[in-house]
Amino acid sequence: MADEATERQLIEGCVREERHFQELLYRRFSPKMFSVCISYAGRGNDAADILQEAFIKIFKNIGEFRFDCPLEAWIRRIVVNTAIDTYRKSVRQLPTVSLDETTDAADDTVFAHPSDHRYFLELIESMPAGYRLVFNLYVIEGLNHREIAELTGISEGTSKSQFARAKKYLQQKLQQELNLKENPRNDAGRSLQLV
Amino acid sequence: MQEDLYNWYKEGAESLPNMEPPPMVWENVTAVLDNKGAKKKRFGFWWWTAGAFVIVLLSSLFLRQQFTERVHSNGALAQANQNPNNNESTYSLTATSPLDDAGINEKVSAVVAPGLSENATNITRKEENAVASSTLKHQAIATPYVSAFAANANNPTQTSSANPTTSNGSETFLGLPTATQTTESSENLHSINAPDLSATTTNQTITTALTELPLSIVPKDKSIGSLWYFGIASEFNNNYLFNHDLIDALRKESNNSLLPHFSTTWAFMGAKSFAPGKAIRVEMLISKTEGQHYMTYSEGILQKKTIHLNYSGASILYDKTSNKSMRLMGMPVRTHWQIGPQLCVLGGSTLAVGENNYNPAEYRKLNLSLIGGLEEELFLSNQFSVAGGIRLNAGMTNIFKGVDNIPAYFNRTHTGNLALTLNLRYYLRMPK
Repeated sequence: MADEATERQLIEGCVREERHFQELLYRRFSPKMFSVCISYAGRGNDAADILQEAFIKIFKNIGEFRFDCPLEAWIRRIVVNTAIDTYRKSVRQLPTVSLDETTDAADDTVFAHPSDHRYFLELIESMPAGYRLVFNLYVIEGLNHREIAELTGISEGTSKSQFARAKKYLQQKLQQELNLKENPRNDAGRSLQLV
Repeated sequence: MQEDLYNWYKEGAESLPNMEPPPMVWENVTAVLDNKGAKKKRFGFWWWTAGAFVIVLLSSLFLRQQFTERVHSNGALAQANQNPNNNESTYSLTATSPLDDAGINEKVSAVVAPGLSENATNITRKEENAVASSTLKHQAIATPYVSAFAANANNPTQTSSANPTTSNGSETFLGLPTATQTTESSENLHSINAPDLSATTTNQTITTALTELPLSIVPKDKSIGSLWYFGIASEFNNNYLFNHDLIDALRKESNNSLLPHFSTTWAFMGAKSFAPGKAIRVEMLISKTEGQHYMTYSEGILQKKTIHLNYSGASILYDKTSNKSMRLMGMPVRTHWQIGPQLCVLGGSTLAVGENNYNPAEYRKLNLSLIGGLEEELFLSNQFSVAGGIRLNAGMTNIFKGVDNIPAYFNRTHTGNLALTLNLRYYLRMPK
């Protein structure tokens, strides 16, 4: 019966810190949120870190949920904010890779057919983290540059320039794939269907 | 084309299938939730800062209280010590002006014994247009100190034989054997044997103006412009790096927290007075460390993260000295206010996350900061002094320079610290 708990029951159970309801909430939303994490951080450990940190925040602060929006949207907002925080931390902790290095590395990547999603994942993973963050916030979350600037602490101009570079980067990558498609002799095993 | 790209990207992201996270994520989440009762130690930034501020404030109040008591006790003319046994009164004038030449201690003592002579002393200071007069209307005779005082005041060129110290040229002063002081002009001091003021009274009275004497008797020092001092300065710092990590740690819902970071700074310093009570002080920093400790989640576990930034550099400070005289344990004390810029050059940086160490290269070479501070200087002798105080150092420039694809704005970082200072100085008398 608890497995079919309503959103309100789930929240109330989590507010009471009942582990069963916490686990239910986690099982219900974590797969989707993990995909969100991956779109911001790729498939490395960072995505799992973001998810973990986000769910800890969710359970600690679920008492502040006011039912003024869908629970999933509230959880997603925490996940995205955690992804932004993690990005900031990763800038300091991880060896950074220059754009040139990233581009070279991406050249060696064999993009899979998009229908199995590997192509898309590999593409976003090959993007420099700064580009990916701004591009995701703009395109997926639907924020404008002013909102991105406020959320991330960068200037509006920086957000625009990062976005423009991200767009150019994606176009170049897609063009490369299209060229490969048109000239399959370069790599007969590759194919791309840009839908 | 542009819209196609956006749509393609958005669809790609939204069509990503739901993916099961690794099992360790839920295990780690429950582990953290289980430990919630035993909450991780959070050294709240504001608690820490408030604590440090309260300690500094209480220390300052305590020292101020001590100094104030000394000042009151040194205003001895106003508090004539009357000894009922020998019916003798002792008056003591003390004025301290450590910046004034090498002589630190100025003292005029008058042991007045009733019935020996009639004397009246009037001491004025013309520069201030204020008359601090002490009209001692009682039967009195000056001791050798007083005699010398009076004689020298009347005859500026006369050398006092009663005083172990000598009067120099036109300058006359009286002092304890260890406290020699010359004054600029004898016209500041007048001793008047005025019969009309020497009326005998049975009760000794002292006018309230006497309380102003210790300050009004402070001589003007024309050698002030040639005063240098050198020394070693040290600071015990409580550092902060003001950046997103700090803001994140302050957030209620954050899983990250700050730990206090301390460091020491060493410097050589030199200063030159260019006007009374005003000096320019230069500090050459031999070693200075900025940094921060965090507790943060990384690789799925709570780890300690430490950033150390090692600098060397220089400060140029405007040093204003308070003209109030104070004493501590009989030694002169003066208060300094300092403000000025500090420019530091990064020598190296280290980042430790758990067991891993990195040498981050994303910090700028130069760090410009603004310093403001307060110091109390205690004179151990005419030329040596020790000073301690507090100092605030606020970084003005963003020290995060960014990397190729991460702009500097993204991780705007400023240094800042609250420091306790301690330094040792040697005063060098330059030839006039």
